[in-house]
Amino acid sequence: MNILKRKKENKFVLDEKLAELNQIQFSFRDGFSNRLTARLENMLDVDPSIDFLRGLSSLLPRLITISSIIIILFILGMIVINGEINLEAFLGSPSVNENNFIGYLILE
Amino acid sequence: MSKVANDKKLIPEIKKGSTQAFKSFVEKYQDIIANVCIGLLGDVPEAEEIAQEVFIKFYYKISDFRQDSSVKTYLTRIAINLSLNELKKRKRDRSRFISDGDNIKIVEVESVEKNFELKELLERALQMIEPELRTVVILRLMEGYSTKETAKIMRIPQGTVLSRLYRAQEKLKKILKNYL
Repeated sequence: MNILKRKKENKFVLDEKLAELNQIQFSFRDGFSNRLTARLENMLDVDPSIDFLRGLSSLLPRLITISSIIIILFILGMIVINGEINLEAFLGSPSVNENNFIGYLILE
Repeated sequence: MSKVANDKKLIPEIKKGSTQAFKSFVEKYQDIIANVCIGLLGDVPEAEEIAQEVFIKFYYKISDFRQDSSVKTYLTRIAINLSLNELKKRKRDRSRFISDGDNIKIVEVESVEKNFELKELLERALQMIEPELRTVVILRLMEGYSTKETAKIMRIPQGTVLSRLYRAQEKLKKILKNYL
């Protein structure tokens, strides 16, 4: 009986202690917002030329993808229109066609 | 109501680039983020580092932020994701040195001395349970989110929140029992 009573009391104490979890409030060292704002200002305070280069380099993969898609679509368009790859039309040179294109490159 | 109005005023100012508004915003939410980051990572320098990342990430994504969703929930979710990533990183780093993960647990349990202040004891006990259980305790018991809100933040079903909460409480009781 005593053991049961002790167990019950123990459970009550533990429940009570756990209930104190909602009173726990962690906090950072004083000046957290100042340190963070200073860090952000440093991050924002970059050389505009570096910022421009960063912007450009982030755009580069997109530009490459878009131009690749345009070239592929153009080639596919030529195939659909002519029924075959027309290198003469593609390269814009009257002296080049699909039969002598490789030979033309070697001679050049 | 004033809190919502305040956010509605602060966020456009931050978008315009006002660092003063950003500072006010940080002061307003830093305690919530501290609870999540220190609660999950412990009172270590990395907790502040991660908390700073939370606000910086928010700053850079502020243009994507929809005013209709709660800032508190949004920040809490970022804090949880970054803290859990940090825990994974720690685990990876630890496993490089110690191959048997169970050894760590034993060391941690043994390092707990008796006669702690209750708050410190609860903090330490919290660090001894698994991160997914700890997250539920922080959100549900410490931050006072409802089960539904906790489920939404953690992107898990409400039933899972309840079962994790039960498991976490049982584990915490077991740990506390040894030191009370």
